[in-house]
Amino acid sequence: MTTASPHTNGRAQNAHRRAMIWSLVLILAGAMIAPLSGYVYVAYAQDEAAWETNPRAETWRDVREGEGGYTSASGPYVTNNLIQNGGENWRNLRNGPVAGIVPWFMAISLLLIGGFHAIHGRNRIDQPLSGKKLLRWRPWERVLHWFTAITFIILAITGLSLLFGRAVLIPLMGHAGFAVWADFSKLLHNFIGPVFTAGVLVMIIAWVRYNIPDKVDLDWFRKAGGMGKQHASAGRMNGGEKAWFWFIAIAGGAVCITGLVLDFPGFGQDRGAMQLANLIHAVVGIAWVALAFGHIYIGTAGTEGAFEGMATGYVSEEWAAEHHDLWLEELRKENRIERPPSQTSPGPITGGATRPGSS
Amino acid sequence: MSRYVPLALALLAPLLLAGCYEDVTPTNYEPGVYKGETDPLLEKLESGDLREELDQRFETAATDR
Amino acid sequence: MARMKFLCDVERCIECNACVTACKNENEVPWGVNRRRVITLDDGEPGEKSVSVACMHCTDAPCAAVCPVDCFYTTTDGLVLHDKDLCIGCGYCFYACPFGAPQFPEESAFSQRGKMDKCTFCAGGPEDDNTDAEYEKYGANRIAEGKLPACAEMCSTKALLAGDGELVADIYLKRVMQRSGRPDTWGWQKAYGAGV
Repeated sequence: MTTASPHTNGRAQNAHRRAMIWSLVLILAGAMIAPLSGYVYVAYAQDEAAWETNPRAETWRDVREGEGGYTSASGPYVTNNLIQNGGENWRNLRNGPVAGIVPWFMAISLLLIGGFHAIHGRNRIDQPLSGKKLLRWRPWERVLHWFTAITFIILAITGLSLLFGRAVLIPLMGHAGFAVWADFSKLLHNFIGPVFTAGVLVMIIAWVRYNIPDKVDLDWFRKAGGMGKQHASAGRMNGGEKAWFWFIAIAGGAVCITGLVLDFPGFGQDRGAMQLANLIHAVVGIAWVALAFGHIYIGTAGTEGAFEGMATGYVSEEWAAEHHDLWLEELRKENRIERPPSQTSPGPITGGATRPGSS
Repeated sequence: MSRYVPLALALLAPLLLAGCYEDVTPTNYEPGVYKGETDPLLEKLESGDLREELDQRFETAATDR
Repeated sequence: MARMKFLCDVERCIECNACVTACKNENEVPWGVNRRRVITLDDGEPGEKSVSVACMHCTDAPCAAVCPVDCFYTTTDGLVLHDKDLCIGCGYCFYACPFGAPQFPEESAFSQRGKMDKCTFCAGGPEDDNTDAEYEKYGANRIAEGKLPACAEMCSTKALLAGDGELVADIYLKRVMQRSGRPDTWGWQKAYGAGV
């Protein structure tokens, strides 16, 4: 007991000091803030006074702030407010940062890809190929992939034409020539967009179960996807593929939704909503294109044997062992390896071309 | 050697793609700076006779009598 | 240099909608397209105000700045006109316009709008003046005939003024001095910049 008392004494002193400091801080802050409350009163009182003495000033202020009135005119594009200020903001954002800065996403992406390829070169398969193949992408999965891929490319070209055509294509094609192309672009973009959205939706539903992040992915990213000396393990989808999947699911979803908001007017969305939708659509859409460059590079020139998988559906066993070892192991263990028709003759390694029973 | 070709292309691509938009600050159009297709009205407006006619008409139409 | 402007004298506008009717009749605009409309503020309350609004022919026109096909052009006296042959009906001008002036003949799924239509200050379009081709696309070209916009010319209270900005301002200031009120050059600051 006796040993504890100086200890508690010191603690009490500390508490006192702390209370004192905080009180001082509070008093100082209060001394600075409290007098400002007068402004709140003054602003409020002046507002009241203005309303009482000059209702006209109030009316015009409301007009400047975009308040509406009554109009007997009717039509889909008739608005009842005198001035909408959002338009000018939208114009400045669209013609400024969106058109001037966002395309650098694409440029940086291409630059990184080119730099990476020049330094690192193609990611080759380490083991010699034995010629044994196994099924990675079923026909419907490939159809889904190429359907969204082709529509994505069409949407990217037409969308970029609409945003940058005035600066890039009008000097090349002239006003009349570009107007024809822009008209066609708009038509294509507006009709293919919803179809693409449907494709993306099916893709998310079909592949979400392979793309649940887990610990293996963290390890995969730590080992930089196996680009270093260490081998990075992965299941059917590696960490990078999962990141791409979730980018499409979230950011791509935003692009699709904003696209639908723009594409189907007449559901009550006002100009403000369309302006916001347009900005999100442009910025995230271009980011999507920039990342798609990376996806296309990794799937074609960047990785030996990857394109084969999405083109034919079959990958070499060595490719699978290198990039998706856990997936291969699982297939082996569950005896679910499917060989191409030319290799279906029963052998000790193939274990028979059993189709997966369930799912 | 061939691995430097994509690098060169990648360096060129940003210039082609990103540097294109006319300017980051929005374009300002001054009145009287005509840009666009030929419109025969423009010549008439330049002539001055039409201008005078329009101004006279405004005076007669808009002033209170 | 003359600069054409619209001004609606809100102390005079009686919401008769004659300007709207005149515009529709003069230019034979399709149903649902309103180049001009009258908006009443505080309708039915004391201090009610009516304003006739159409394209204000802005100096730094937002519609022209955002048009992806660059179909707008400005005449020497500041009228903002557009070329319907180039227009793709994307609706961007409608998003950008502070006055809600751009109109489209339809609003249907897949953003099918048709070509944009707006007030031309009765100055038609790029076609030859007062030809059928011009009339069909843009309506009347009264300016080429030495006439001013129909809406303003037939305004019964002379609330709506259309003409050279300086003359408009002269008349308006005279009125304001006579009736001793404050000038309300409504929309001028937005359309023509801070200098007016």
